[in-house]
Amino acid sequence: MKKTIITHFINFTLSISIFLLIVLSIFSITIFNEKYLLNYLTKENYYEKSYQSIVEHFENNLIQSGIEENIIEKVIKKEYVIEDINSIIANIYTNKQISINSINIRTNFNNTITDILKEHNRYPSIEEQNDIKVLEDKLANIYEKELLYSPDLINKLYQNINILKKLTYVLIIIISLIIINLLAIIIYHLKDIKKNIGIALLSSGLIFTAIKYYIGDTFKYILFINKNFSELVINIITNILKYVGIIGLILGLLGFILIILSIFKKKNQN
Amino acid sequence: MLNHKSTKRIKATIEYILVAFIYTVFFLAIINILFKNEINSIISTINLISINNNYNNNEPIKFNLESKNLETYPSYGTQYANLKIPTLNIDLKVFYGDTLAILKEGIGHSSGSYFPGEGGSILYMGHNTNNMLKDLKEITNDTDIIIETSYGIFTYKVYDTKIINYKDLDEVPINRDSEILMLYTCYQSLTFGHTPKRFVTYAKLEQTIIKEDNL
Repeated sequence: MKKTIITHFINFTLSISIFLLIVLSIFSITIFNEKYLLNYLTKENYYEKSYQSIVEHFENNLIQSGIEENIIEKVIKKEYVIEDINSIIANIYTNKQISINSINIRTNFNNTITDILKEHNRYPSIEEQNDIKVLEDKLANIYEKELLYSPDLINKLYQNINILKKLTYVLIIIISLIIINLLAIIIYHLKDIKKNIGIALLSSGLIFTAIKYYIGDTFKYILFINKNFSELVINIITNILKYVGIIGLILGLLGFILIILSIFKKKNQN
Repeated sequence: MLNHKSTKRIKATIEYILVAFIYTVFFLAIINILFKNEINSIISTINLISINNNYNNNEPIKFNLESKNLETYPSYGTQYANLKIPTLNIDLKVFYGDTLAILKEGIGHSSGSYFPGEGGSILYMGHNTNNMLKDLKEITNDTDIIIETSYGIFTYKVYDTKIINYKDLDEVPINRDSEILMLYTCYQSLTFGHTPKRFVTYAKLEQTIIKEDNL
């Protein structure tokens, strides 16, 4: 009886350890990995979508201003958006200084307006000069807000991600050592190695599958910061859950196969 | 003998699978007990930042004449009506929602306001460009504004127009005191640059024709 309880305890601990190790590994190669995120941004066309979103906001303001919308291509370049998004990502992961091209937006806007006024031989009144300045501020703020949203949020992200990243690495090492020890106990002290490891793997696989189905589509309609960012988050979570499902299936199958092998071998021996 | 062996094997397999299943349930139960508050908090946050997806995509909009409410609402971002001002030659699509993408295509129905026929204030927004509401500032009192929806045709008569500041939200109240249609657009006073002024047209419901197949 005592041995049965100990065996169950070891198998259960092994199952949870395998589950935790894999979860932490998934996080360390995805969310906590700057390269993964940068690749994902490219894959999801996030730079292009962000650029289009900013252009749309600019158009909306320019429509009402009496200024031709075609000045947008003189005011904002797609390269600014790519550079600035990468700068924000670098800040989140490595605390590198953020640089946002809103000064370039202002300069380009002012130069363009000056050219337009010269072309039309117009001398703006004081009220008009003020309206132009307000529009300049609006465009710069739109640009910053679409990309940066909130400097406090970026700072919080940097702090949290780095703490979690370090914690993850430490936990991976600790849990790996636990698994090695448990496997050693199973191999040297318990009978039915295949059965015990098989049950642990099958249980881990079932946990992954249960979590995947529990989370399901709950996050599919989130709208946070802006539509592009929300879609990015949704796609990243969907991608991670896809891995979770596959891993659950593989572990479950492996566990099942080991169990079958242990039963057949035991019976053959008998 | 063979059958007995197979039965024993099957029993053993089921037993081991059950053990694995029990481990799983036990682990998930522990997580639920230990982190119940955190899990509920996460779920609440997700619900808070999720778009309400209760609007159906395929069913026709149905209007309840007794309660004066729509039983099914259009999906956000879809066209559900046409706005016509015959005297100004305006005939525009009306979409549910007021995003930038919508305002490029037609009139946006502010999602906080009521629908035609519901007896409350309706706020429609549009750009003041050539193919949109540029001529709206020429509108006069007693002009008819017709909203044609899939569930009915609603005619409103203009009784007032105002030039307001974009911050004057009190001038576009949303309530269920009476059915007022408000058309809201920018007011360009021939200056160059940002315009803080808005032009608002107020029209009262004059006539309702509910389509029979939508009752």
